[in-house]
Amino acid sequence: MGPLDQTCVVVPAYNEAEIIGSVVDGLLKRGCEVVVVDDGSADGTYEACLGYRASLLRHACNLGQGAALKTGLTYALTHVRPRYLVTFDADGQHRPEDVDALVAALADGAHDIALGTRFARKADAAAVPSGRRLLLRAATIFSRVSSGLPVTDAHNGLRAFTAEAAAQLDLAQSGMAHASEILTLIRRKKLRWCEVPVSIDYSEYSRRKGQRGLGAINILWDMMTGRLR
Amino acid sequence: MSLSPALVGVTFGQIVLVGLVAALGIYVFALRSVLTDRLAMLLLAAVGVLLVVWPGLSSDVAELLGIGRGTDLVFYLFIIFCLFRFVSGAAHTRRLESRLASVVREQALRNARPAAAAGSSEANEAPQA
Repeated sequence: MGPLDQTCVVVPAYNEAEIIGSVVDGLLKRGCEVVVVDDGSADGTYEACLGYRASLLRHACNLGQGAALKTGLTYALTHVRPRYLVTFDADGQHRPEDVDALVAALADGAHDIALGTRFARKADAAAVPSGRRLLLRAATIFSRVSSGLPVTDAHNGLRAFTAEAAAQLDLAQSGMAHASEILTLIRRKKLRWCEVPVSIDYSEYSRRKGQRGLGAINILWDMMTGRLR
Repeated sequence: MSLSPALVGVTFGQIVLVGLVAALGIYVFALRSVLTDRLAMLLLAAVGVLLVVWPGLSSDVAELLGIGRGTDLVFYLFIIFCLFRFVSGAAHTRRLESRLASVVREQALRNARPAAAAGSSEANEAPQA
């Protein structure tokens, strides 16, 4: 019984029918529970998962990655009840074996949250395409300033939480701004966090599906309007 | 008769207008409610009525503030009104979106297929307790 037996991985997916099966399969092979939230896909993402031993949820319409994560985390906390929860992107950019290191960082009880970073190891950082690197560096600096946490990677979808910490994260941001929101909540709730090196696979597919640089404007916009009363 | 302060090139009216925009910012991020929004709308309507029944008013106030023509003052106020409408519309959309998310989430949670039901027919969608 390793910590992975007590781990539930939440995978928010939007139009990932091509690849979601192999992502879910890779996670299940490591012995963890998997919850897939289909965020209103139109390409049969939900159907592509039916054959796998994963919990499946489906949003009736597209709400955004933050909303899908919240749905998945809520389901996992109330129905799967694991000790550790992990968020994992559906486009195949993360490696299932990195989940082990993230959960291991929580297993000794010293941290509530482990954040994946692609900038801790030289080889991982070198794998980031140059166009992405500039954008990610800027996003990281922005996140450090807005959240007050000295993180080295801002928008990495691979994170691990203890169940207690996940229950405290009440995400209000439906879109991509949830990544910054999580950091702000970590500071506000005084959660103990650490960073764990992870590798990102920049396949042709994940680059095609990934966020465009101008998406940063949307994130800023969501963060601003999120404060409206 | 301009009330320009000692600052070079900055008129009193410019300070008032920039101050109004700043006040709008504070209002929308800290003080807003549906009730105060509606009060503000009524207030703006009253200002509009005043401007109509007293045609010289906008010019007098503009001159007092050092803005120049009354038309300019009304135009600036119109821009501030547009900003205000825009922000309250954005906040309204935001509230609706968050309600929509709650409804969609609730429905997704009710219809969840538990991992244990994998492989059986799709009709078996009852979530486990």
